[in-house]
Amino acid sequence: MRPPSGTMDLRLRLGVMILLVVIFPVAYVAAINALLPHESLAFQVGWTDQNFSGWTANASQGTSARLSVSNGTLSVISAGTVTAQQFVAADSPNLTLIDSRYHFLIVSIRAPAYNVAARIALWTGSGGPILVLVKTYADTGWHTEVIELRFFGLSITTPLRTIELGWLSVETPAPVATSVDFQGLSLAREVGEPS
Amino acid sequence: MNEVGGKESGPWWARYTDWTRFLPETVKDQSRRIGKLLLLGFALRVVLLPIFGSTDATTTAWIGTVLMAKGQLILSNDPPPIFYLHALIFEVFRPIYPAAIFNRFVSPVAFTPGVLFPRSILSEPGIGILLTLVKLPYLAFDLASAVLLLWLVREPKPAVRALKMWLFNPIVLYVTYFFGQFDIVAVFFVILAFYFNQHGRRHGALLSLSAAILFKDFAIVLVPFFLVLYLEQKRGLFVRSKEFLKVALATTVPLAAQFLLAVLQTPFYESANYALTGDLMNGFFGHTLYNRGVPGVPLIQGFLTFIGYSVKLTSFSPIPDVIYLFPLAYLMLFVAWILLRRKDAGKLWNATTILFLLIYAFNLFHPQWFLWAQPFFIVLVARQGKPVSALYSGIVAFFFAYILYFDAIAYTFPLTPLIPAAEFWPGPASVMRSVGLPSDLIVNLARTAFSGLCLAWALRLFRAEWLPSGIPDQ
Repeated sequence: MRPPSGTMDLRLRLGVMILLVVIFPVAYVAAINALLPHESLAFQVGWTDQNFSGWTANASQGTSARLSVSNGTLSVISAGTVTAQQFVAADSPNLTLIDSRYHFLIVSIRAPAYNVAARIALWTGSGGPILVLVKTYADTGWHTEVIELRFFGLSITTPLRTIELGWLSVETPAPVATSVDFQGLSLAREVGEPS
Repeated sequence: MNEVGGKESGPWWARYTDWTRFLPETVKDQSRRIGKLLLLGFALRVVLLPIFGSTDATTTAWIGTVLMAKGQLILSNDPPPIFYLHALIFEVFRPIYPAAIFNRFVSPVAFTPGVLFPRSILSEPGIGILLTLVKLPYLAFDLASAVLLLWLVREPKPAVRALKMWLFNPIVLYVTYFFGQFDIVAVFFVILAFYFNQHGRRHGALLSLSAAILFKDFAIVLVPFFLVLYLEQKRGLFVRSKEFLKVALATTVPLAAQFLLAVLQTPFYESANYALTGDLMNGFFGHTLYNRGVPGVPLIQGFLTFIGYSVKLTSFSPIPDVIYLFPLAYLMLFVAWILLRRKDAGKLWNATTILFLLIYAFNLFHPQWFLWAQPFFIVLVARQGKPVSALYSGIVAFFFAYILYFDAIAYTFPLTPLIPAAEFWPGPASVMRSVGLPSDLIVNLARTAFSGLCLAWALRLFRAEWLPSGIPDQ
């Protein structure tokens, strides 16, 4: 039988318990956090279009659009009422020289209301447009979208030809002069990803 | 005598140094051994806390953080209460919450497909601290479950064996610390419900079941079995009706609480990408909430997904006549349970084990769902020894082959916090495909073997429980 422990013994026991259960784990987590190399997500831009020169307006049958570019922001504005199933857009010029290693399409979008969905379509030169984004937003602030193009089948063999930035109406028709803004359009790859 | 000694003359805090208070009398004489096991299990878990975590863990962290920072609830298939628990812990540890990750979680940057977002978080600076904060409650519930098993298994040797098997169980460690899923919280309450049931404390059992349902809806499937047991032990219509009402209340209150939280809390407007289809389209489009590509309430959608995961038989008629195998097996087991004579806590344990085995044999299931049954498996293996332990080992081995279905999500992404380059590694199934191996065939064969072993164990338990005692008295 073990002799009864005294107060010192109890203190020692409590100290050891705190050391084992609290201090060692905290020190370990702190050490791991400090020692393991981590980098914040960053993108290396391979192509960008900041002034949107040469972009042309496009729209579904029955409506029309006009474009406005100011301070690197492209505004796609409806020139008529846009009802459900209709869209208005801006089409880029031909993008034949883009390196397909830059497989993230990054763009910031600002939309005015729930009933307006930002819409991004891509053309590869064969077949119809590939829709890669149709989204509504809760507020009128800027939202940055990062889209993995390989997920939609784009690759060296099916390279990107045209980017179409636009919007469509959802639930209720969008009136004339409704505008959705785009800026910071780029094609990029993640820093650190294998080639 | 208490090991700490001098209870009356010692300082007021002396009792807090006596951890053996948490042990049942049956195993107190083995407290040194148990202490070493617990310490080793704890150390192992601490090692795993900051270095592994899946996209599920970072998604949970995202929802918890948005709730903490903006007071908005991201509506997902998982019941909201767990996110409140995480939000509370994040708030408590706010000063050490990694700033880079916090800014990412509240920033208006979205990814298509959505999984890129939680995946990229895994390699952010501070991920070790975030994962530790996320898993902190899991650690508490996990260790509490380990100790609870000692109370549940009354025989000393099997009890310690069960503790050992729990502490070093690859499924417990994988699901909770490698994958970083929160199912351990509900599992703890399920074990607690069975503990209370074993000791005839029905209110405690029902309360624990309620808590389990609150955190994860799967516990609902256990309720009818408890109900039948309780009804059988009562006599008279009024008393039985009262019992029925109590069980009904224990089931509906947590569901109502989940619903109220989802309705009353301001929702986070997660924009769904309508260009995506199926499982990838989640969130709001206009005013409509989409869940896995379908408009609907996430909680209900989660339940329907569970049914949809069942293996089904279809007839060849022009009428789409479908029979779902898991609901069929569940109903058959339930009827057999009703007809079983002299039900008790032990039989309920075995029937529940059969139920879980049927779920895994007949349903597609997510890796973390396999945790639900582990206490049941472990206790049976600890009690019955060799033949069952071989069966269990086979099931565990085939489980790790089965989750090859989930490829990088289950195997390589969780390594990212330790090895950032793992974010770009292909999963093992992809590697198999790239070297020309028929990965689908291999995984399907392993899955078939897994289901076969589950059914074999279920049959063994069924025979033991039903055939001797299930024969009506002559």
